[in-house]
Amino acid sequence: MGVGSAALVLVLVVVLLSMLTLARLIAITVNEVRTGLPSGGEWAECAGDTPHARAEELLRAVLDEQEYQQVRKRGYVDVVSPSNAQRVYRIPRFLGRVCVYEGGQVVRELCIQPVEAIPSADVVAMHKLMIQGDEEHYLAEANQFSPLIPGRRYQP
Amino acid sequence: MGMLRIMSRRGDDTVMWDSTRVAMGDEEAIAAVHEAERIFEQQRSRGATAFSVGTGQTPVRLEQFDSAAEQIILLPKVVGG
Repeated sequence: MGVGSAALVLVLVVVLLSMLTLARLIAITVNEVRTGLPSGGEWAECAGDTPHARAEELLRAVLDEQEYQQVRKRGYVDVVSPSNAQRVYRIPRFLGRVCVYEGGQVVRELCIQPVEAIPSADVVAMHKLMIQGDEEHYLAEANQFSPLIPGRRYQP
Repeated sequence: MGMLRIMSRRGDDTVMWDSTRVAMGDEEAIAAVHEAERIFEQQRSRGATAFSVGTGQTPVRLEQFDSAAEQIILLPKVVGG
């Protein structure tokens, strides 16, 4: 490899690392804006009888305790496919596509949404119910995309 | 107790009924079930999807109203995004 090629590879690596760092910073900022908490904090439940409080209560009823803690602390919940034990759906608590992992590696991303605006907690519950209760219909309705970062490994 | 929860922009609206009183012929309880069934059919005609959810059980998709279900959750119509 010549000096020119090595320099090009180095530049590409620096650019890639910069993009990953920027994406991470954006994700942290979005999380802090949405939760009102510093990065790493838990999402605060809305107090009182509001749409968001009711949706949060429903989400808590739909998820088991481990799943609920995962979504509060990590900002996503993992649901194992009922038809394929090697497939895991990672549902984001707020914005973003559902990532599908198979054999420990991301294989595609899904986008499916309700036609009516509903609280974000209800959207998470919606994904979980559809995946577990009617996965075939869920996959048929969802638009499927190549993963944003191909080859990304599943990390619990 | 049976419960129908309808997801909406208001969070979820809930209709509850007492299955024991329904079995005993209690008019008020029966009226609550009929109201839940009416809402179920109305939402389904708009494309909603229904799931029966029991404690510790996997959700089951419902095509018809089930007054014996512990909890029914109605999701609004969904589309690929």
